[in-house]
Amino acid sequence: MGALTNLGINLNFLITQIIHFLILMWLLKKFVYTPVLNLLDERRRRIEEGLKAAELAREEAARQRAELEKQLEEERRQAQARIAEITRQADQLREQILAEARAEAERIIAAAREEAERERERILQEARKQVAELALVIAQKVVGETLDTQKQHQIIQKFLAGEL
Amino acid sequence: MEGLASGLAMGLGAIGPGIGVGLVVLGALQGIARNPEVAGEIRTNMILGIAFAEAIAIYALVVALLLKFV
Amino acid sequence: MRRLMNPRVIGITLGVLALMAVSAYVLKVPLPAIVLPAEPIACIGGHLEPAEHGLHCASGFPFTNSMAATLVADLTIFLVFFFALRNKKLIPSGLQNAVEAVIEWFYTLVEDIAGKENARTFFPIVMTIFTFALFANWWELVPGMDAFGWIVEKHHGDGWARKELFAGVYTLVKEKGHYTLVPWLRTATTDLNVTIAMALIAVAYVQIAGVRFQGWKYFKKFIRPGYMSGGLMATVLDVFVGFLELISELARIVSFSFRLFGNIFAGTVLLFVMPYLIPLFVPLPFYGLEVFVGMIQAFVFAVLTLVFIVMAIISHGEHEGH
Repeated sequence: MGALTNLGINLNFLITQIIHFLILMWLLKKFVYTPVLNLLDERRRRIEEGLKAAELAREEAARQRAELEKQLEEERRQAQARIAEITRQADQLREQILAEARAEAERIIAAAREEAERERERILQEARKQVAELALVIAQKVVGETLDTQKQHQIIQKFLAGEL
Repeated sequence: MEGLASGLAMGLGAIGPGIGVGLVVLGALQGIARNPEVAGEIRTNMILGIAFAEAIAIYALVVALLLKFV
Repeated sequence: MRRLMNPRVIGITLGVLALMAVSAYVLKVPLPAIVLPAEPIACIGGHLEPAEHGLHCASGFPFTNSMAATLVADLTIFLVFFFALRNKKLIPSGLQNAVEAVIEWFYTLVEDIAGKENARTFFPIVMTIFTFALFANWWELVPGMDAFGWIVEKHHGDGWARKELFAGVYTLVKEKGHYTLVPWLRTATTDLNVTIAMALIAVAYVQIAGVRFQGWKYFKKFIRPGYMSGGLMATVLDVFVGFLELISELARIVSFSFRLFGNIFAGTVLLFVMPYLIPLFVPLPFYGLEVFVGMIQAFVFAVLTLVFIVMAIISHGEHEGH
């Protein structure tokens, strides 16, 4: 026992220190380790959740963008179709208008030609009549004899009918 | 004579652990130099190894203290 | 580096150096008495009286200077944790961040060595050992530790002379005399009672953990299972190995307690002797060394406890299996 005393080892002090250490351990466990470890767990959980949420949000955004792009593509396609349709209609209309215009022009030209023909016929008729009359007058003068009016008309008629 | 005895006990007793600690650190440093990625792990184990080697010196210390103070 | 160069820091440094110079050359402080046992500084339910060396309690329970330092260390632990965890935030800063970083680092270490499922069980004892040893060790470095106390007359042996500074306050001076100082505070871990108490708790915990995880099978390592089955030689060998296991458990108590005690006691003596020999500048690197030693010893004590626990909870049979 003397050796231990000289080294300063004393049973009472030893027991005091053991009790002290156990109390310290209990206090630290209760007030420090458990709350801090829980806090660390809580933080880890939160961070994991945050990461997961961010991942979800990113996926959602990607999904939405894909959808949007699809929509856009669809609309573009529709617009293309409508443009094609309208172009087709316009072409058709133009064709139609052109055709109508052409027909109209043809009709006008035909009418004009007919008119001109008729006029020429009429003028020719007139000229022929006048020529016949003139020829009769000349013939009268030349022949010196006057045909009666009735005979005259007969001759003109014959002339006009192409018999003379 | 007690002073001499305790001095000798501690001094001679520290030779072996001194060499041992040196060897432990030698190995650990070579390990770290070759493979620096595991430096942390090697360092922890090195400290433990040093502690075990040092235990021998501690027995010498106990003897020296007993000689000196008892 | 720029923060170290600001005028306030330089001013404080110069002030401390001036104080060191003045105390070294004006006061001429003597070498403190190097005493192995902790000394009583008060008696609970009794009174102090002078003894052969220092003081002793005639009656009542002695309150030693290492107990006082233990309480001081506890106080600092509580203060640090109190201010760190006063209002815990999910996003930590400052002291809370530092405390949490240390605790998390240690917890990861425990997880690595003991496995994730056992970490919560073993963490409190490991961390308490580390925390208490660290704070107790670092109190060694605080100026004033071992410096203030009762000045008592020695009846035998050499001591130092005393000088009255002012009304009833004395200091020892570097002259022959027969006075000595019983400090009020003495680094807790330089008292063998403290370190043996810690070692006993650690080793006891190792046994308890072994029994809890392995059942009574745990004690098979002391009474070898090969018993009676082999020849006489094998039986003798088994008994001997079992006995060695028992001895090694006891040796752990010694190595645990004396490792911590020896390192810190030697550090304290070093910090006594160096300023006594050369008071200026020379002791500074030793302070740095002691900061390191204090931390390493606390760490070693804690991690060795953990390693022994893990060795105890792994079944011996499967341990030898590979």
